[in-house]
Amino acid sequence: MSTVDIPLVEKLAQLSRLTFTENEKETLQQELGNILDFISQLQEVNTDGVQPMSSTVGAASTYERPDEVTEENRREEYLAVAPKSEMGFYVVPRVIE
Amino acid sequence: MTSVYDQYEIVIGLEIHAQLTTKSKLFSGSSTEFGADPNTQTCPVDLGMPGVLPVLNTAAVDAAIKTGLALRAEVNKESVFARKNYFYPDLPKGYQISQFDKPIIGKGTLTIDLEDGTSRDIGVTRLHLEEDAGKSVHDFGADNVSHVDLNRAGIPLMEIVSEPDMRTPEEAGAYVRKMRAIVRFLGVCDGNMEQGSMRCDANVSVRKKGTTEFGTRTETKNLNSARNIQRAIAYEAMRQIDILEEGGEIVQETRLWDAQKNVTRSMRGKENAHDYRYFPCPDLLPVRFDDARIERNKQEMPELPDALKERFMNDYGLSAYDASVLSSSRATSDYYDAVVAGGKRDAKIAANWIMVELFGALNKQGKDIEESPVSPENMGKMLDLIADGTISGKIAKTVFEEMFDNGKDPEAVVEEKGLKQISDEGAIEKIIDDIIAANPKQVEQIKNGNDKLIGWFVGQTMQATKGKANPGIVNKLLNAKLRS
Repeated sequence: MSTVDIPLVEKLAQLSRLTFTENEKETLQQELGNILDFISQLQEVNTDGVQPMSSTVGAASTYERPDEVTEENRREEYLAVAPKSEMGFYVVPRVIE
Repeated sequence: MTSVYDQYEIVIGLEIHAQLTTKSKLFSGSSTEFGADPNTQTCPVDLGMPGVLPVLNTAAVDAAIKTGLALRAEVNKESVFARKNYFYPDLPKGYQISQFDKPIIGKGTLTIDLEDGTSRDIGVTRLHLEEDAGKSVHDFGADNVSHVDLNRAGIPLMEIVSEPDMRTPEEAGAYVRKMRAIVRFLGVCDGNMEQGSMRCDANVSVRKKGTTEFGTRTETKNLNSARNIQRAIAYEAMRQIDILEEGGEIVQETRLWDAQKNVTRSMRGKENAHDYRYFPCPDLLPVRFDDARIERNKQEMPELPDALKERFMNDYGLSAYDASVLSSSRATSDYYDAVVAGGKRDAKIAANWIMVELFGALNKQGKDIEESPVSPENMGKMLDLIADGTISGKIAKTVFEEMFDNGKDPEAVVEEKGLKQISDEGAIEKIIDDIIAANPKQVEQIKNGNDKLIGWFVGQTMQATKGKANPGIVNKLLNAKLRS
């Protein structure tokens, strides 16, 4: 009973910055549909009067971090694992027209 | 004359992003200091490394509570962080941690003060906490690359959304100024719009007067001063009216304000796929606190602009507009309070000197009142010199200029420049007698009924004394001698 069609797969692909062949799209349509069908079993449970949860732990946080600087400058180590960097910046493909 | 523009009403809603003044980031212990070398203030949490967990900064929560209280808003004792998903190189995680359906602050009100002295209540829809993204730089290096600095990634922001309650660009400007004043009084944001610690987006639509349905709106970004906000809204409203009058349709889109050309431009390519797929952030539990925490924040809050304005009006008899200007920043109200010295000096005269002479001189040099070369003590002393007749109000302007240029004590200026007012009747009378004796023709004309010439004699006397003669005594003596 899934409602996953090819346009939805294409939209998700675009939002995820992924490219698929036509064959892959069909496979994904099938697989995503199966996942939705599986999950839809949950719809059978009666949830009347149950508050939605934001966290599976069911608790809320009371711990908060004090406002203190605890991190030191380790730029060179971080830049070293990036595909490309120069002059202290990460270098990425141009993102403006 | 009615123009076609008068047939329309502008509907404005504003989104303000205020960067918090916390020392560390919203979810990590990286520094937030402004102006550091690129990428020197980041850590694995900010960089979206695998396996890290965000931990909420307690000071950011307190800042949001205080701002909520100042906006007379609902403070939600339970709120939820959500992920806003989109891809951009300056967002390492691929999502921004924000709040969506359960923000920390709900509906509130901001009272804006208009130039005519009236006030209006503008609805605040919500206020939520979120982390900032990094910064992309496009103007150096090879043509086909951008450079990313992630120092800003993770810095705490408050996003404050207004209701579409404003109807003129002036109201929008007043809203931003008031919001800026409040966050600065609270000390939760430095309000520096040029440096980007306060940013504003304007949602603008137009509709024929008398109709109640909203028109299609556009969102204009990149507004970095109250002045630009007013200009951008005025431009955008006219652009929309022109389109409608030509039978066209408004496209719902994001536009960018170009402060050089004074126009808004469409941001092509940003329209499609505004599908952020929000969902509760599984890394963070809901935030929960009790009434005691709200109460503690209430106790820590300083006197706010609205309360100050009321005090200035009640205690000092200022007009609504003057009171709102003098309560627009802590530094201004402190300065004014120090000059008035608890009512020891004339509050209205003090207000005038600060708003006209001091603000005028500061504006010319692009300085803030914190940088005023004239201290409140010296301003006060100068007002005392006027009050006790040592100098006239006119001479005081010369004294003020000297104080402003050289930071000098007013008594020293009066002494050095010999500006002391001449209030010795005998001395002034002697000067007046000489002038009368030298100008028999003018005396004759006054005798024949040309009273206006008395003013000419006042001028002559002031010239002869280099403006130092006490104007009251000069007028009294001349009237006695010439009108008999």
